[in-house]
Amino acid sequence: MAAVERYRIALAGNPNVGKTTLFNAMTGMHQHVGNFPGVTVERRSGRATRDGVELEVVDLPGTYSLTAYSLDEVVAREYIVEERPDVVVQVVDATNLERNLYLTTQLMELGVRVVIALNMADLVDARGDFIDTVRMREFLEIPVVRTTAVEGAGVEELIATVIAEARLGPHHEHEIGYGEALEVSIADLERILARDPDIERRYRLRWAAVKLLEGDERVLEGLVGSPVEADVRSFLAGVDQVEVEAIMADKRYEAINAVLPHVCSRCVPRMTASDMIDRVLMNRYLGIPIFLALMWGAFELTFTLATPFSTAIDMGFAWMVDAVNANMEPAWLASLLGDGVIGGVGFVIVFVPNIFILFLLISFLEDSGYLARAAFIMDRLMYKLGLHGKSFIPMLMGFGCNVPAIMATRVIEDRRDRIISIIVTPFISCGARLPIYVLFAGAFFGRQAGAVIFSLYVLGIAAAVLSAKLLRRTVLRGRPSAFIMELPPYRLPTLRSSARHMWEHGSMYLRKAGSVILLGALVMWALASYPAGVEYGSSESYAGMVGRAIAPALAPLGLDWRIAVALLFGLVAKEIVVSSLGVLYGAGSGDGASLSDGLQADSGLHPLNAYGAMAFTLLYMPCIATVAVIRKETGSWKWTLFALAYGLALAWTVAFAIFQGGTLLGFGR
Amino acid sequence: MMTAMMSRNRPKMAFALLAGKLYVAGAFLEAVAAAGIARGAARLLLVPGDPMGAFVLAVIGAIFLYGAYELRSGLDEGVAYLYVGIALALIFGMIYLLALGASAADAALTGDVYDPLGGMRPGLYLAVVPLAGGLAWRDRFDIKGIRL
Repeated sequence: MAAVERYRIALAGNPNVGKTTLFNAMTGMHQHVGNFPGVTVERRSGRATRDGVELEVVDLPGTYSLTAYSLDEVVAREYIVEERPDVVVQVVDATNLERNLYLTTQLMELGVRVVIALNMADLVDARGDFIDTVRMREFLEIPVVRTTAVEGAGVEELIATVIAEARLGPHHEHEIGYGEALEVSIADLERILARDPDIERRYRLRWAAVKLLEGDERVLEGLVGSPVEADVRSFLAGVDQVEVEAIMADKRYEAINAVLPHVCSRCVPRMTASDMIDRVLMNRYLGIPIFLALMWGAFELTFTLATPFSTAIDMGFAWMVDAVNANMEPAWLASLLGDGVIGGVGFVIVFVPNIFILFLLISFLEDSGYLARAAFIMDRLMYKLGLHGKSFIPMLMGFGCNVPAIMATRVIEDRRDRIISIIVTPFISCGARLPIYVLFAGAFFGRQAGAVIFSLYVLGIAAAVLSAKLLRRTVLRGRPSAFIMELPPYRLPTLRSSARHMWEHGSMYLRKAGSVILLGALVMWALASYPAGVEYGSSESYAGMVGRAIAPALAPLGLDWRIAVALLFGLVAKEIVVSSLGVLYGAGSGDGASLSDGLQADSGLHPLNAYGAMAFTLLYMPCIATVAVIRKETGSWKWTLFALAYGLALAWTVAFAIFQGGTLLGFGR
Repeated sequence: MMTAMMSRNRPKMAFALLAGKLYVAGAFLEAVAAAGIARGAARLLLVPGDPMGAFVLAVIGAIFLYGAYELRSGLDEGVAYLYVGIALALIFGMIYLLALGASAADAALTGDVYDPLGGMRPGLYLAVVPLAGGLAWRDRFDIKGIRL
């Protein structure tokens, strides 16, 4: 009795290209679903018999490339690489050839026998396009069969082609040229790998070398215990794998785009307007400078455009204070209303125009689609520094408020990546800290105030990113996982939608002014007024006693007890720092002086320690609401306390370095 | 075909080169003024000493020059740099104009003396050049659909 001819066929392809439909059409719905140990995703297998030939058809999870990132992609890749099916049928979405052929180039490099099922070809016909399968076969040297899986069209021809391909001898590999420099690296790495015959048996050496250069962890793990492992690791230590991966992707797309015009009448990719803009805004050299320039522009406008509005509000409050002091009795009530309520709450309201303008501008950037690009631009840098690229999205949200930003870290799957993001997100300057910067920068930096505020936001991002690197190297060791994000097309933001976003974010501060800030101002007024008989806001008051108790810790930063007590009360909500200063500096006490004048009149304050104070405010412990959300999202008091202690230590160190370093360099006055 | 493409793009290439050189020169002057060198000449040219302003001008200048380089190399997509450079230059010109207006409003409120020349920046008056380019190629800017 003749032996039965059996072949194993893998169905691979991008997600949503009709693989499962084709699988059902090939196997006649006789598939079973099997869970394989060690994986959480499933692959289906079924059988088909034609002319005495038995085919075991395995439907693999969708994957965009053979560099596996997610678990589904790992399953697909491992099956093709490790279990070596006789033929891989790549199901290609004919309506999106360019993206689908990227996987084809990788399968070709792997040296497996491939048959292309050109699926959804009917849709291509319907839109008046034409794909020349004969020329496609000639160019790719791979059999190409048109299918419309949903109707079963082309399935029999596909099965016959697969059997014919399986009967052929070993397939020759296709190579994509990666440029002279990379080819030298590939050849060098191949020579190292060739010293271990076991590796040569398991992998095609060029493919393994390419994957290692791309930073493929799975292939590297496969070398554990190999006599060449140390040499490979040492070789890779000198390679910028992120850079190499990008160059290789470009080369593969170059190869695809060289083929497309010859096989397809209309599917030659044309650059859309979004693509054109992205060429500039996401340019590898210009992308980050453009991002920084735009952010600086936003902060410059935030400061300058808000100035007349803030001046008008300030003048209004000054008039109210004068009216209260001149007409109200008894004196303590005039002080409560003038110094406490107006001096405290009023000086936060003064900065509301800045907050509204900043949110309007951030909404413009977000609605236009640019902020998504900013995340993409920063991902590369952040990945190198040990932070998950997805972290930048919560960080961008942190410009508004740290609470939703920390909640947004839920999108990060890996727990270590997530904890790192939670710990560093409070370093991103939230809107509540803006009034403090506007106050100090306006008082001490004049025309450079916008640039100083911008520098604080950059300092926050730098502190977050560098802290992530430190944590990644110490308490939360590991490598961040890569992330793929879809970029929305550019749109012109509408004023209505941006104004709505601005109001949603900005109105929060007005509500806080009537609640927590008012309460904080009243408490601060009481502490500054008592015990009875002391001079209002003096160091003998309760506020002064609290301030003097903690002032020694801040003395090396050049900050006195009034700043110390304001920072302490800022732990409830950052806006209270400004309202506390308004109370403590007696601003609005009837002499027409603003808080800014009060700060300038303080002989102990000058640009250097003012900048240190702003940096300390940026980095020290977050507000109570943020602490609560850190506890909730980490599920751990240990990490919560660590985040608080780390922030406080970093703030003190940075402010100390600014003040003492600046003093040494002669910037003290 | 390449020659025809280059010939068609020649005016754009020349414009990108001119705008790029002007912005880079402005950046240089602003950086020099920020370093405290040649302050008199800088004041005469209405160039304040502003390192961040210099950085912005340098970025815009680099975008124009990169576009000029690509167009010279026959890359049709180089126009993207020209158009985005124009858009960014106009955005920053608008920022400076709004800042100037805000200073005037603030001076009017407080009764301070307002000096319009004191608020002048190279990013504002240099924007006249990209504005001319934007007007010349305005049919290429379809803002609603973001078409280039």
